[in-house]
Amino acid sequence: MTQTATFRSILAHEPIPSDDQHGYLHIQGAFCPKQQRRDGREQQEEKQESYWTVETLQTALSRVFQHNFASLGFPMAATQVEVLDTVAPFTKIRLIYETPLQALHVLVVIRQRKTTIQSLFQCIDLDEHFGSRPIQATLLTQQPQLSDTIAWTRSSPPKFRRLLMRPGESETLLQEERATTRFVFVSNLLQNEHDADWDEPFWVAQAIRSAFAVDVEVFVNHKSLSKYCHLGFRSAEEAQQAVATYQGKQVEWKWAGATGTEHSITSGMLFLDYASITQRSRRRLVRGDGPGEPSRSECTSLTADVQIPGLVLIPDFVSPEEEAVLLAVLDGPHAPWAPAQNTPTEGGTVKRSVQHCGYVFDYRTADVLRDRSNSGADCPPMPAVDRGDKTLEEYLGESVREGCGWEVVAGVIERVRRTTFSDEDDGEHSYKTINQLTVNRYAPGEGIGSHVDTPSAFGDGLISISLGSGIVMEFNCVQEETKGLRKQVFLPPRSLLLMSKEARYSWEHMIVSRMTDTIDGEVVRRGTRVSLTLRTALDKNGSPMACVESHSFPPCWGNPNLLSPLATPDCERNHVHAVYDAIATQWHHTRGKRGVLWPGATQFLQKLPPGSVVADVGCGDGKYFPAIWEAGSYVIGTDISLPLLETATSAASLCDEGVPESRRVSEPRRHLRNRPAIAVADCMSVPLRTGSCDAAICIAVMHHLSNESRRRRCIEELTEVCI
Amino acid sequence: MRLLTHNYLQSNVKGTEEGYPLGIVPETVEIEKSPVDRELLLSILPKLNYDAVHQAVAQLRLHCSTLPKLPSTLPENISNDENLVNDLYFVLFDVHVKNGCLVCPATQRKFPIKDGIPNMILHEDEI
Repeated sequence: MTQTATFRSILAHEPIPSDDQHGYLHIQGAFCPKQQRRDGREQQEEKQESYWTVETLQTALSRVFQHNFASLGFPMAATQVEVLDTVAPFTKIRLIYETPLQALHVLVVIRQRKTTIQSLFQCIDLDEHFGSRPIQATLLTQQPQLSDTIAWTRSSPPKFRRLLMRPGESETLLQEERATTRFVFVSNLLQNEHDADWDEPFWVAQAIRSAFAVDVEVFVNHKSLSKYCHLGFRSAEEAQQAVATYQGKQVEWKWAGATGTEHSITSGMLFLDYASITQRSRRRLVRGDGPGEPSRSECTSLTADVQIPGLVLIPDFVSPEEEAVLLAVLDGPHAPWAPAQNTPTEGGTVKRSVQHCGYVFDYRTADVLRDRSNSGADCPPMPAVDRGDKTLEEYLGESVREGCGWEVVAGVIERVRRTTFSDEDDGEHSYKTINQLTVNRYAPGEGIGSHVDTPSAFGDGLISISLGSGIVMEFNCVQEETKGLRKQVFLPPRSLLLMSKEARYSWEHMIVSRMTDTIDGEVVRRGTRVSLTLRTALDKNGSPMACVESHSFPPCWGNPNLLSPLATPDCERNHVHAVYDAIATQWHHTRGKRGVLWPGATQFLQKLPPGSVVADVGCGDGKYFPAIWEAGSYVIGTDISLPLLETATSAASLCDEGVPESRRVSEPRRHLRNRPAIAVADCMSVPLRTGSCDAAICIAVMHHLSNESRRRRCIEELTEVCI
Repeated sequence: MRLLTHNYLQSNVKGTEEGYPLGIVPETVEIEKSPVDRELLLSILPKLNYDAVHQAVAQLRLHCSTLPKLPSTLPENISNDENLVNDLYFVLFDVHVKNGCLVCPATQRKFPIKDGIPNMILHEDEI
């Protein structure tokens, strides 16, 4: 051992180095006689001090630690004593023992007996005054630290978490972590409370090691020792082996007390689980998963336990089958969110997706826009049932089977209108005047601020139907006498919540923006919740407004002048235009080229006087062109799909071989076929001069238009070209 | 694109009072003779916007000097004027603008013509 050898202190959790090396114990304090400051003997002492040198200290200490050790309670003698300082007040001493375990024993004794320097020298009858503070002892080693523990010091011990599924974390990641961690959580190590001796963490750790393996790291927290500790094995394999071996078993701990007595303690039935060290980055990963607050572990309950007058929760108001169809239409690719609908509030926009039907609610003024013809007030009508002579439930059942989502929306609204809500104090109520629907989509992490729905805008009886995922709604009382009362209610999926009377007017309700909810003590991850809010919009006099409704689906915007029906809906763009563009060539070969014409259309074309000009809107690959040319007329074809139009001029189109009769063109008209008159255009805006054509055809197109106003518009365009 | 087709096309850009006739900026013009279909021509003529034909020919002649010069107004009894009938047929049926663009007279919006197919699709803010 040289002077330059580097030592580091062994942390409490670290295994004690093996016996093939020396044990090093570092003791600190002022190993120098204290000056007497009384009776004028001060001067005398100062003179005498000169005898206290490295040599004298060395001699005194070796008498203490190598010869007289037993009288201090140290179990064994030190092999060497080194004074590390060369000048007074000599603060650092290194004791070297045969083995690290011996050094540990001495350390434990020093700590437990709170040995002072005074007591050290008293045992060799050194009549000097020394400090009466306990010595600080540290166990040292020359071994390097494990690389993954390098960042830990005594002041920042590692923190652990059990590797359990937490909201927002990926399961595969978790399983991978469980399989690769070398840390294990152990509980039930002690059956009873431990005695005072256990306070020395080194000793406790050493004792726990006796039950598992000598080289295991033991992370003990005094306060929680009776409950659990964490073990760090050398490898993941060892950790897995330990879990397999000790799970549910009892173990025997053995350890020799500082005085040499053997103790033995039987543990309880052990429970082991994988754990890992929580790192800051990891925590950020969990938090960064989504916006909002973490779940607060507050007790939430069903309305059965929450007494708010007028608050009624009906579970399973909507059947699972109905829910599936509703979600398909309200949260699927054809979800009804208005194109570029912005929902400005006073301080921004509403984050969640919102769609109003019947009447628009203006978040800025917190009022209903009563004149639907105003800009911004335009929204689809309320979905209405058209059940013929069927009962409502028959109509709903059929709509569910057929997967008609909007019909189910209408049916559920009608069911709400027919529901009688009974109130203990106040008899029965139903809400037949419902004329406004708000569809909200809450992605996990989204919520709604605390509010009471504007009393002048909506009548009594607010109804909220939860679909997809449940959510915890918070109610805060604003009534003077009971102000500050707060209740939390879990709204399960498919339930209906009625807020009436006091619950509607005297309590604010809100949904906290967070990723999880705590339901009956269990943290549950939120899913996407689609809610249907049904309300009765009131006019300025407080009477229910007229119900604007329609049973033509999908619902479309009532006022074509305000929102252009000409804008291509995404559903057509994605499911019509994109498809035809992609399959154009194939369609031409398998469908168009077969030249199967509709007999009625062909007859119509043949009856036109020769020399007519025909507009073929949605002409595709020009299937009807030959019939028109052969009738002596001229055709201008338009289509939205350029790839489809290009097939009309492709080489395949221009060849005569294998072409059916209906697609053949006689010699004098071949020049027309070789360069057909075609243009890319939308049938919502046909680019032909008004009244310029003698006839217009639009074959197998109308069914691609996704709503009535677009179909109407197409017919209007066709007429305008001709008249 | 034949000039006959051009005679029917108009621009529907939002806010356009008069999207007709469309100007022609030709890049490639092809001429392909075809048998004169006198009957077809004569039955189409009454519905034709002759001013637009005249203007289109004037614009194309800058690019393609072989185009015949047409009278600025159509004579009363054209069916007797064999030359004019042939010239008109030639202009309307045999001259093809293969590439280039059409220009809306009101908004100057350009509609490209590629391989003889004009693209009249409007952007969402134009409808």
